[in-house]
Amino acid sequence: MFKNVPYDKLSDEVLMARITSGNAQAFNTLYTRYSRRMHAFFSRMLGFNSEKADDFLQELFMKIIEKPEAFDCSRKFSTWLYTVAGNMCKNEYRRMERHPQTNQIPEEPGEDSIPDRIDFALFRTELQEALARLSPEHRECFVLRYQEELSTKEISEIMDCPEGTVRSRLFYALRRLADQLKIFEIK
Amino acid sequence: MDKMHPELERLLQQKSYEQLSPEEQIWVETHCSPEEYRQFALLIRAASHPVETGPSPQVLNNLQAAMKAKQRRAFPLKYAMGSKIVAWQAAAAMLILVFATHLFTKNSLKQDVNTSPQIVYQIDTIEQIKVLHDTIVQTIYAVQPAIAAVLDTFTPASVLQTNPAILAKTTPIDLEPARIGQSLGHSIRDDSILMRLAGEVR
Repeated sequence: MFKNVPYDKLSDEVLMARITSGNAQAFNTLYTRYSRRMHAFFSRMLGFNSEKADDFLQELFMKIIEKPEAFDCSRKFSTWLYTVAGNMCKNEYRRMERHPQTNQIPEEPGEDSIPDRIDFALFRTELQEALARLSPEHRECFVLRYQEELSTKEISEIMDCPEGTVRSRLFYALRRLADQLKIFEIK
Repeated sequence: MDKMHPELERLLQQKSYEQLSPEEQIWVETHCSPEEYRQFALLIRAASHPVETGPSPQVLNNLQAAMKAKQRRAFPLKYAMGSKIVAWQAAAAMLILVFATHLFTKNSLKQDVNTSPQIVYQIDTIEQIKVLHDTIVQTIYAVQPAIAAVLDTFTPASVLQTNPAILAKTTPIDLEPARIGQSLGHSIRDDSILMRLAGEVR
């Protein structure tokens, strides 16, 4: 049915079915389609550590190579991929709690770091640090909604919770972040 | 309010507080303060900024190697068929194959031409007959030309003489009586009886 369709025109789900039967080109296409997005997701979820994001990205796609049958073809691939990636991050948070390292979670900004005006680049840096201080659920909700730009319905599927819970978490996360970044005066 | 309203979210993503119409401002203020609105809008805008760094190319290399390794494990035959070989190796293999086929065919034809009907003797059993005589036989009756019968079955003369039917088909052979004390263990080739018999046949 899809024999003559170029690989980049095939749906994620069809590509996954081909990967299950050992098709390397299907894998390359899927990697090209999602690697940047997933790298950005890991980077945002793991404190903008690019090397760590590389490791996690590799681990994520290794799961696809080693156990492609773990994906249920009746589900949407992107939702499944973010679910797996989110679980990997949660495991990492748990590991970090068990083995805390210095400077992993940024400290609350001090009084002396208050700038006179908004520097957008600085604001973004501060935002990432504030994000790292959120709970894993609130952080994941915020990243998936405003950074990965997924719908609340998709997030509810990824996080396996009702859409109402997603909206509550989003509002809470925004309030918490705004509270932490109040130092940046909006003129 | 403890949930993000979809309409508020839409306005936050599209408009600054100053861009809101008076009606929208009134509606927004039922959910959050103008200051909060500005903060939320800034946060969303800053969050959606793309990450500049992409994945390292090494990640893809590692994954492709893993994919190949898996293919080798899962589909060994398919992998072997699909694997690339150097052109000169392929050409050399083809040449060897053609040469070997040519030689084989040539030899087969030669064999066919030279073949002519021949009797092939094959010895698979060697029998050694050793006859130990303790009685000197003076007369042997042989049923001609079946000399072998004489060798295979030693029929006493008394029996032959009493059986006229057999006697009628026999020819008496004059034999030298063996001397007492003569060795009887000589080979069949040197046996005087056999030599006589052979002479009779000729």
